[in-house]
Amino acid sequence: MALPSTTDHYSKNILRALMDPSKLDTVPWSSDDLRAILEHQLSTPLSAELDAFAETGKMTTNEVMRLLGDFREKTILDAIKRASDCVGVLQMIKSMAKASLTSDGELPRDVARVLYVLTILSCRRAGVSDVTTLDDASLERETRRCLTFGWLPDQVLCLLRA
Amino acid sequence: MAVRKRSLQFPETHWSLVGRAGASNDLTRQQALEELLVIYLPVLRTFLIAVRRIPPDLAEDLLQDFIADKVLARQLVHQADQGRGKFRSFLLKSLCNFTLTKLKKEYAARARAVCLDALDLATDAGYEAEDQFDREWVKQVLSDALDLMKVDCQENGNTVMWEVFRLRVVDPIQTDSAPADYRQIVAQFRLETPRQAINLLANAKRCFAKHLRAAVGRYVHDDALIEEEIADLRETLGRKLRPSEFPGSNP
Repeated sequence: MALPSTTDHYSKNILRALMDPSKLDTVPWSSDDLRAILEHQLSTPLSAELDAFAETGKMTTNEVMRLLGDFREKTILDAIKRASDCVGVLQMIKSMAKASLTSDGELPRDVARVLYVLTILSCRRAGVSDVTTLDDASLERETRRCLTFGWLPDQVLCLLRA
Repeated sequence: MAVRKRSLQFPETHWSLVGRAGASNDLTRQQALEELLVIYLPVLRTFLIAVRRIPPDLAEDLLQDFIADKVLARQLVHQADQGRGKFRSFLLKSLCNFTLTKLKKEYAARARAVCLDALDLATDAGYEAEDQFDREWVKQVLSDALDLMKVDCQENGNTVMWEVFRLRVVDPIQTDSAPADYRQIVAQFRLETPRQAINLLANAKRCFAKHLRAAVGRYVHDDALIEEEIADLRETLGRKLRPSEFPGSNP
């Protein structure tokens, strides 16, 4: 019985990747998976990421809890949409996303890139400009790059284009 | 010669063992030969039956004759030359030549009775045969690594990690099915954050890599050679792999 070409491709590639010691931390994800991961991340309660915020922001969990304040039970998407109320929270989200843009991170790189750009754009729209050292041209370039991802959910597309 | 059962059964390029099997000391030679046969016999048998489509009873007779006539009586191992490539290639070529001769002569009637044409076997000898043999070998190594990993995960309370790995990696390659998608994994194991799911898979991959090394380490005893062997497995995998040839898949 022949496999669908995508599965065959997946099987071969994942087995070869599994046997490649230089790619031990690489997990291949499909476009649908990337969309699902981003949606999951955006809907994750901030309180569920205490450890990640503490680790990537170099803070204690108590400090993170204080920064989260009333936003503790809100989601990451809630924070992005209400940037003016929680710039400190967005900075923690940005740090977490940035960590995944380097080899230290855990999110797929393109998911992290979208999250990173979203937090910066959201802060800028809230009138906070010192959240990043990226200049306008670089931020615009990063935003355009994110918009090329075919797997972005509609709500994220809207936020990037706003 | 009594051949002990061993859980891992695939060929090796283990020249120190080959060297001992060709030694002049009878005891040393016999022990090394036993080890070699334990390692190689299952794959040679699988090669004759599954790849060459020789009926099991005839394959078994051919194999026993090969051991008796070539390996033991004519000290085949003594003729192996490390400078001329892998021992398993040498062994396979010897088996193929021996089989062809037997099927043309002594076993010609039995071959005809099961519509086995020695000429057909002869035409796809050489590279094609070695390629098929290599793929059988990769299957067994991967299968063994997966077995080791499964047992390790079950014994150490890492069943969720194994299950995620099974859904994403093992099942697709064994049953020709699509991998479980991210949403299914998150829902099934009630994972709160993407990091949990991603870490489970990354840890599973490291665990598999560890057991792959262990599986290869059972027949290659040098760290540098283990890496070389794994690279060779990858190369074989990239060269040709049909879905039905993955470990555990249905024929």
